[in-house]
Amino acid sequence: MKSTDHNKIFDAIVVGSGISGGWAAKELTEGGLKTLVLERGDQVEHIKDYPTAFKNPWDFEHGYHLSRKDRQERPIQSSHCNATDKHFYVKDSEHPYIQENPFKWIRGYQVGGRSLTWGRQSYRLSDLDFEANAKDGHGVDWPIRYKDLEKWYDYVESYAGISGNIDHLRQLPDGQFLPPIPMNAIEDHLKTQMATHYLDRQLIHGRVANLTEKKNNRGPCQYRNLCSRGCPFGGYFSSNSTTLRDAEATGLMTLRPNAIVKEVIYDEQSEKASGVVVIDANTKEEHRYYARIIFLNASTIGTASILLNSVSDRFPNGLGNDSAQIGHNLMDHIVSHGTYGSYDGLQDKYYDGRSPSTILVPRFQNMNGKDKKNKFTRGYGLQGKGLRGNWESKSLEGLGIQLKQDLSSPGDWRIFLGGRGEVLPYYDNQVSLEFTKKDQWGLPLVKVSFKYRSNEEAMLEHMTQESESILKKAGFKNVGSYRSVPIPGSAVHEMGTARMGKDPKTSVLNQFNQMHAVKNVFITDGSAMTSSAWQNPSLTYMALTARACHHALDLFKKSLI
Amino acid sequence: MVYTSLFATALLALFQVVKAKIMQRRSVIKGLLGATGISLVAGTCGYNYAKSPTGLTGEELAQYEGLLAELVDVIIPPSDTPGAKEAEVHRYILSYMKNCSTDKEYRNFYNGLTEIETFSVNTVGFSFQNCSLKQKTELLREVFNEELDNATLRKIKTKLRGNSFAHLLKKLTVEGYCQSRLGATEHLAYRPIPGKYEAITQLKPNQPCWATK
Repeated sequence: MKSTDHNKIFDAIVVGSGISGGWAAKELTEGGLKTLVLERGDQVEHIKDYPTAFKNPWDFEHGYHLSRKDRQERPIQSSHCNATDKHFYVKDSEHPYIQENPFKWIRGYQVGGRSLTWGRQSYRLSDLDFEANAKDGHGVDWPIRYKDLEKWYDYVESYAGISGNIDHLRQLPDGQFLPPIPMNAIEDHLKTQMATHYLDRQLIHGRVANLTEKKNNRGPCQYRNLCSRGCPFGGYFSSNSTTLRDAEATGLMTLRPNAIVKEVIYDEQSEKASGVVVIDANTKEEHRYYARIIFLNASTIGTASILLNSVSDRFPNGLGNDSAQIGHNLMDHIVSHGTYGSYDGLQDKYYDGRSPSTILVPRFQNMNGKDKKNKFTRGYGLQGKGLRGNWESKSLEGLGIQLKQDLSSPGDWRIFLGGRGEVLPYYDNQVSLEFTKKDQWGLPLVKVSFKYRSNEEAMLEHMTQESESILKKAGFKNVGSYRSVPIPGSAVHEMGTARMGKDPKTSVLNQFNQMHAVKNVFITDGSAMTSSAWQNPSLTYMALTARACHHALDLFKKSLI
Repeated sequence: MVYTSLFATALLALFQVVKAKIMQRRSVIKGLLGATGISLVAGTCGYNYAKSPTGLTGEELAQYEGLLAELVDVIIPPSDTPGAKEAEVHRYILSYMKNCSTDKEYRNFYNGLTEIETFSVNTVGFSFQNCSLKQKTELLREVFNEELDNATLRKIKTKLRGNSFAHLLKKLTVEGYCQSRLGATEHLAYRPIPGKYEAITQLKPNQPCWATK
């Protein structure tokens, strides 16, 4: 280390500013550590950098459509964004990767990452999930159980602000909730009907990170349902509006946008990481930063690629990769089918304001081990939403005055249900680096190989049939489904590439998300997940991050790292 | 490959049947609207999907702005609330076509606009813009009727040839109108910042549909 490098020395470095990196920044700075937060994309300042937040539909030149130029620049991202939020999705043309099989890598390279555009669904895992690998033998056992994470779920929910209902479900533990976003007439109807027809499943309020009450000068939610543009009211949880704001307030955070982490530096003598090499995204100059604690929160595929590119004599196959598991066991949730139906009744009911929430049928399959009549293990939840038809969804006949009147009258109620299914950890589903091909910063291209297997395919068909059956029993008409070919990555829930586990021979991280082999490197983004469970995973990343940070602070203060 | 071409041949045969029906229907329309002595020119009846003008630049449609304004105003006419023309929906459609459309959509839309004039002259004897509102409405109704009734066949055709002129015209007129300032705020109910959510309300008499969801 050169003497001129003292302004490059920190107590902790956090790589990534998305949903888990933001939490690491907050917890470490509030714990008194001088912390450098590195983000590969541009700065996005809360409120100031939400350019479309107050635009009306007619303020967009061609509505919400992406232009041909947009689609050329974002051939992958274009299925997940539109003209109102495209600036929060990368241009694929600038950030290429290799798909050995089709895999949508949906990315938001900016301060706040994908916490700006996430779906905000926030569900706890239960022991049904934490025990699953041990019970059916897929993957390795989680090194933690629900009781280890429970108080950290409490902690992050109380701070982030999750609205939800207390439902007393074994497979979906209750939390520290703000009042739920209520169900509308058709959602309430479906809930009642399901209670009449089923003993094994029920409909509950979505649990979402939208503030139904004001919290710490944020929110409340204004019910615009324009979340993915960034919320000038701070109505939902994002790093920008929440964790990074509070980290900034400590005066201990240095945030560096446009800083691409090339590799983690390993020091053989101390057997620890000593810092990171960063490439300035604009000038392409390299810089080194040093710290005693390193948190990798660069997202599941990003973190794996940094580790695989961090090659040393001790770790020729990537930092901390004694197990040869880094990059492997990539998971997503299986989505891509959807079921809809319309309802003749409740014509005198409507709603006022736009709900940013959903309804949920929590997992109800294989609740006591694999049910013999099912062709799959584990399970799925169904998420949905009910609305009255409008110009976007009505089938519009005719033209002239008749059509015009039709446009202005609220249409029949309709409801949508879509499954989110657990994907098993398979060693062959992996992220690797193609060292012979480089991006504009000279970094090897990421290669993703991913295929669904029979378990996921059987689950996908099951969720669609059950969704149809639920809607038919509840008296819906015109019940039908679309069955798109599932393309992995579509759920934007990548997980598993540096999994937690008990045994260093078969896993990368220990029970505190510390690398088994490099104790001052912590990984708390999706790559840590030992199984995918069926729930939207972000809340679990938050809880794991807060827990790992407190462990790291403890070790730091005791000079153990 | 063999299967593909067999399939295409079968489809073409089906389209011929549909086209024959359309021609029959058109002569009925012609009678209804009282066309003057302009004779039908062979081959101009029915949209010529095979026609694919080369070298389209994205600027060709500008010359049809006036026609397009008439068309959208027939689809959504002025009443106690503004019509599509006043809401500048034709400009929205031109912007979509110039910036967003696929090549197939652009070609189909261009062909549709050029042929609606021919269709109008051949069927009623005037250019579209000189037709009465009743004539315009009947002509457009006929264009929309040409949308194939068979859903599967329509899907296949869309996949092969892109969205049809009729489909594009109606869809873009509706969304352009409902997302325009006049359409959203005067014909529908637009509330940019609700501030609260009442999940279940009593629908009031004549309460308009919300403009956004």
